[in-house]
Amino acid sequence: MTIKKLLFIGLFILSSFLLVGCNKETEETADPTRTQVYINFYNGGLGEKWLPELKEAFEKLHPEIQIRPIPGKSTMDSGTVLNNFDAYEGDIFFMDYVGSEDLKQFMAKGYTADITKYIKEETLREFNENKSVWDKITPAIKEYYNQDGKIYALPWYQASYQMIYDVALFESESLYVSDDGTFNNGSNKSKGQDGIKGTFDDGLPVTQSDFFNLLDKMVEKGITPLTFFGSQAYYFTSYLTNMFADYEGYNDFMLNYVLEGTDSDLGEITLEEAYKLKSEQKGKEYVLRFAQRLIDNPSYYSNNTFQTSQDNFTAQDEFLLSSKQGKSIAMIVEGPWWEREASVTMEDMAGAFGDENLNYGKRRFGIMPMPLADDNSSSEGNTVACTSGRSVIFMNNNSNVKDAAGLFLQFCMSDEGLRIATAYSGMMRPYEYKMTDEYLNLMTPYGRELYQYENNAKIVFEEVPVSKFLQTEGSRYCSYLYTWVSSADTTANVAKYFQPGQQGHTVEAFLKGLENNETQWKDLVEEYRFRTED
Amino acid sequence: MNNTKKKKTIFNNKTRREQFVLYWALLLIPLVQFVLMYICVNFRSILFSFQKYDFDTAEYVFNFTFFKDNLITILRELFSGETLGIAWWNSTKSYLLTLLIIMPIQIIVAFFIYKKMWFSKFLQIVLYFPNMIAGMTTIIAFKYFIEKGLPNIFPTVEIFRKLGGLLANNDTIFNTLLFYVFWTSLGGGMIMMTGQMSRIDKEVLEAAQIDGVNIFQEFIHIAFPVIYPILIIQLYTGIIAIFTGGPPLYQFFASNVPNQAQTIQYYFFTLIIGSTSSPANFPKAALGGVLFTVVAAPIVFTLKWVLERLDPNR
Repeated sequence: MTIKKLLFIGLFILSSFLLVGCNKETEETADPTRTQVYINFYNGGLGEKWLPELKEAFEKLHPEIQIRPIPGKSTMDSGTVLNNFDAYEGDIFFMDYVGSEDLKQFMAKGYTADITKYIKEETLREFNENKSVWDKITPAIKEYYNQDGKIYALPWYQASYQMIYDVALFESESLYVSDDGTFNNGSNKSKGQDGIKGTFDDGLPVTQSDFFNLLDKMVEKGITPLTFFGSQAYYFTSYLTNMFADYEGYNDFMLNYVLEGTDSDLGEITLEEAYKLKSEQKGKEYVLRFAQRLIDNPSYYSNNTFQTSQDNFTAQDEFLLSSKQGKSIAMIVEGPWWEREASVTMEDMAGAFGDENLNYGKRRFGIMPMPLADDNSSSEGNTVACTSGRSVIFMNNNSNVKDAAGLFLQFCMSDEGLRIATAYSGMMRPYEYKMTDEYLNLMTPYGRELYQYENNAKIVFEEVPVSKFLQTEGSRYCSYLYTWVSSADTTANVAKYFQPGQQGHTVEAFLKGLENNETQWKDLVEEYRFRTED
Repeated sequence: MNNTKKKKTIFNNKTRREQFVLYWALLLIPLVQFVLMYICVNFRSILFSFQKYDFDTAEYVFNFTFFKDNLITILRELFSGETLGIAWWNSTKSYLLTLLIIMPIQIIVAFFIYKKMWFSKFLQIVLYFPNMIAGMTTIIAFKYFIEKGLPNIFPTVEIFRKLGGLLANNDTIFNTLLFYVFWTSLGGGMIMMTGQMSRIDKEVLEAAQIDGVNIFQEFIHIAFPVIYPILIIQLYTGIIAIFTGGPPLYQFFASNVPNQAQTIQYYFFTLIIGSTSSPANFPKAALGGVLFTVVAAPIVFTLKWVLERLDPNR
């Protein structure tokens, strides 16, 4: 065989691979008698089952339209899509994370269609609802998607970091409390924080003291209370931000994003004075003291927690396997996708130990409520800070089937569509809707707990710069809250900061490091005012 | 009658034509690569250094004054003792480790193996082992050894457990990574040098033995000149490695490297890749690249000129 032939064969094989990579065909073939709507979606923690279920339900109502899902993971990274947009043929995109700068680029380059008509102007009467999609969007995030009255994108899902506990362990080790404070196996649970029987917080700690009493009880019983992915800041600090939101309440938490209003402790806040919020809101100190108390005692968490060989997956495995191997671990700090991510481990455990109760969907996990301050300074009710405000849905401006795609978008945000999506992904969407028993029964026990936890709370988002100042001149402060960056610890890993044996690592020093430079802030506000005011 | 043979060209000879096509077909890929990855990238980098990201329009705007702004930003960070200042010192430490410790050991071990001294085969395998395994596997194995292995082997040594172990403790991360670099770097250079030494003519060695040279003289006067061309390449390309090399931080920690362990390469890489990236960082990162070239190029060419003149083979 000559070199030329070898070269030709090599090039042929290479180009075949490239062509295969570009092929958008899904398993089902395109029906020429129907209108195809292609959906590029991120197939990560939410899994992919929810979309075929939505497709099936929608196609029953509109058989003239064929929904064609195209799953992707690395190909659905925001930067990848932005830089190779023409290579994507989806009419609708479900993206896991699109930073505000990337979203602006999507819009500025004309990639995202104006969907105001489908989202704001039309009601969902096609699906027997009087509201528009816009009316249903969770208030905390709405303004972020409002582009001078036009809509180019929508929020996709909501996810908050919580402390998740092993129900079977709590039962077998009698870690629930009754109203009189005695520990029991769950046969006599207290009413919990909300004072209502039959809710997710029954039998669980109410105040911070109750929480640490529980931890001490666990240690006494030879149980390790907690594990998590500690070498990365994000997991634990997102949990702390959630606690901060719960402490401050909706209004005071949202001030960090709207930058103007009245704080219950600091009083009237103007944009010029908003630099104070970062270090002076009382919730910051409350949360930092909680973190210090927790991390300062190594018997409260696993030895692996801060090792770099411990990532989110190894932490999940450590938590799950601990019920059968070594010392039991009672809780993990995770986001709601964790259960799906860990489903393989649970399936393996069910097979290996011959116990179907260990399997995904059968094993029971609960959500630990955020501990309230002992001095009653926590705000009323629950406020949950979600991390996923920048998970985005948009329509391709090049789509030739905008009306069909718009109709599908409306269906996705109808009550029925939202219930289907929630039931099959295990995660809620940032829209107003109620799940029915029919769909709740399709969820895992943890999914149902999650619904209870989020459904009864006010939802806020930790990383969405609602204020125009944060989107422009003040963009450097955009992530200042949720990353907890302090000059005392620029990695913002609050948990690591409070590990014992480090000199000078105090709550006071961390708070001091959180302070924004007043002059720099005010200079930027002045630039912003100069540009925006006539 | 004209007897001169007509010269074969691509226009009158099929074989020449085919050779010509094949030659250019082979050359095309590196040529395109050069145009795209060198000319275009550098052109864009220079352009970026005069630009600023406009958050309102999500576009880059051009102005000559932005060059000064970007330059001031970099220089301020470099000399303020913030991340970039620490990164600069870490990169220098990494380079000095390669220059002053790894390279001399590579030479000595290579000579040791070349002379087939005791345990040379064992050393050859042990030192080359990390290079035979995929990089990520080596990193994971190393992490587990440091975090799980060492505390179990030495349960009384506090530093192996403190704050999560050597790779989690900000005070020990970078030195642990330097050890990793040391361990994994020995193999590659050693193989190259041993290979070069094995090319020494046996007759030269026999003549040297007859002349009564000892092992030290053999190393200085015979082996060293042979490996000298490799050494000088390593020396002057090493200067660039201050900016582009160092421990594989991203593979170890992704975007979570504490300031104390950052290098110049990592700092600029994470300005544009990963969770800490932003399009607003591109001008700063591009100007950084341009500055590295401005600093490194004269040093590299001068060093090359000097070292070539010191070549014992001349």
